[in-house]
This record gives sequence, C-alpha cells and structure tokens, in this order.
Amino acid sequence: MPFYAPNSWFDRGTPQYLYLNPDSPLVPTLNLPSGFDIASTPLVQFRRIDVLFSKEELVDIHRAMQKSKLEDDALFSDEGVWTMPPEEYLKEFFAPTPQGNFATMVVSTAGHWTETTFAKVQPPGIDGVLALFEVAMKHWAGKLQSALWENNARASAKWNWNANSPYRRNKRVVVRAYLPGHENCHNLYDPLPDSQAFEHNYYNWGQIPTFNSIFEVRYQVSLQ
Amino acid sequence: MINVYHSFCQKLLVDRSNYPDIHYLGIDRPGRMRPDAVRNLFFRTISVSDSFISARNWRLSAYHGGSRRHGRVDTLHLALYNQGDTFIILTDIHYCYYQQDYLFDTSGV
Repeated sequence: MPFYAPNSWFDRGTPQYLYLNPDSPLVPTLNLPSGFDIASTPLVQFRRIDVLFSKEELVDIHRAMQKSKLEDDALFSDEGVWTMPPEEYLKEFFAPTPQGNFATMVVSTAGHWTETTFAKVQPPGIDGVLALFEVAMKHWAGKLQSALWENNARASAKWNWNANSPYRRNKRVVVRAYLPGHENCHNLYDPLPDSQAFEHNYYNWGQIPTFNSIFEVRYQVSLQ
Repeated sequence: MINVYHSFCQKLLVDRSNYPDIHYLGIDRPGRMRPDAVRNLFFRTISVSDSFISARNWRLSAYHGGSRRHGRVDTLHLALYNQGDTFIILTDIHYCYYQQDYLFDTSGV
C-alpha cells in the first residue's frame, strides 16, 4: 500500500484493491467463480488515470485537430499527470481469474482537464481544453466499445458458453458524472438548501457540468 | 409529464447502437439525493397512471418495448418512490440502498 500521509511522497498512480476476507465465516457459503483465489483475486481495483489516454496519444489527437502546424505542440505543462493508454487498463479489466474477472469499469474524468495541465492547448484556455476533451472522448468511447464488442463476442461464443469460462460475458463501462469540490468546504458543516455558484472557479470546477454534458452529447449524436 | 420523460430519456435511453456497453450515469448533484432534498421538490414527479410505469411490481417496465438489456439500464439508473399517487424518480442508486422505503430491483444488475 502506498503511504498517503500528507506531504509525503507516494506514487499516486499506485492501484488499490479490495479483497474478500478469507477468515470470514461467510466464505464457505459463497459460490465463487472458477479460478477465483480468495487470497489474490480482487473484488475491486481502483486506479488513478487522470485523462484516460497517455500523454503521447493526446498530443497526437491535439495535433490532428489543428488547421495549421503549431510551433510548440507539446500540449502539456510539466504538471504531474498520472495516466496510461487504454490498452493498458483494458488489459487489466479483461484479465480472467485469478487476476481479474471484473464486470464493470466505472470511469470518471474531467477534474484533471485543466488549463494549467494543458498549458499549450490550441486554442488556448479552457475552451481549447473542452474542444480537445470532446474529440478525445469520442476516440475513447469508440476504442472502448470496440474492445468490449471483441471481448463480449468472444465470451459468448458457443464453445465458451459455460459457467466455468475464464472470460466473463457482458462486460460494460459506466461513465459517472465528475464532481467538483466546494470552494468553502472546510467551513461548512450543514447541508446547503441550494447549489451555489463558484466564486473563484478553482481548477476547472465551473466547467465540470460542461465536461459532463459532453458525454451525454456523445450519445445523442449516436442517434443519427 | 411527457416532457419529463423526454428530457430524461435523451440522456440515458437513446438508441445505443454505437455504444451499447457504455453507459452514462449523470449523478452530478448527489447532495440533492438526500432524503431532505425531496422536500425541496427537486425530483421530477410523474403520475402513477403513466403507462411506462408498472405499478404492480414497482419497477420500471421495459422502456418502449425494449429488451431486457434496456431493463437493466433502467434498474441501474432508476428507483421509484411512492408518495401518495405520484412516483418520484431518483437517479442515485446509492440512495436506494439505505432508504428501505425505496424499492429497487437489483436482479438484473
């Protein structure tokens, strides 16, 4: 486990896991999947993947969006970004028992798509970040759905239609809306009657609903 | 009433042929899912007589004749709260788990 004490160094990309307790009196009553090792098969894996693509992939996507060649197309500032290409986390997601056997990938992104991280975005500022986000998420949804189709088709092939199949069927992805913080969260102790507008717009909190709505638009576009 | 459904379905229940296995869960104001939020009339209400609702078993019937697949998405996103003769749509599944008055069918999830 990483050491999470304030101001200490730790790798924020370190995955964390939840396991069943092998000493629980309920264990003998469970009907575990084939290959499930209670000592090593996690129920849940959490990992921080800030922008759902590697930095290099986003640089390429950003470059392809430009009408003319940029002098500096590095896109990112030197701010820390913890991320990885989809191929890497899909490999973990699709892993059979005993390493994985996951069913649902819950994804939430928006909070790290800031002007300071994407300091060299073109057009500059949060509008450029939102434009990049929209294009990148279209790439992302297509890539993820293709991978899900491939996995789910393989897992539901007739020869594999049995309870002991190492490939779990009907894997899915749930994109959960991202949540901004509250600017005065340290000084409030009661529920607020209404939503409050941001005064300082820390990070990109004021635009979080716009980021979220882009995911919805993706699906409306798919109507056509 | 129709408008309520229309706006809701635009978000969650569009033709999903492009991304059938990727779902969007729009819980961006979870604080409003608190029990006391009901008092603030945030939740959209629809009448019991709405034909989309199966009053007998208290769960959303398959939307527009959809497959069981749609049914699963519905149960993931919806719970129905019976308050007099209206149902209140909740969009946060966590809320349903700790309020026993909210019936939530998890059989397909």
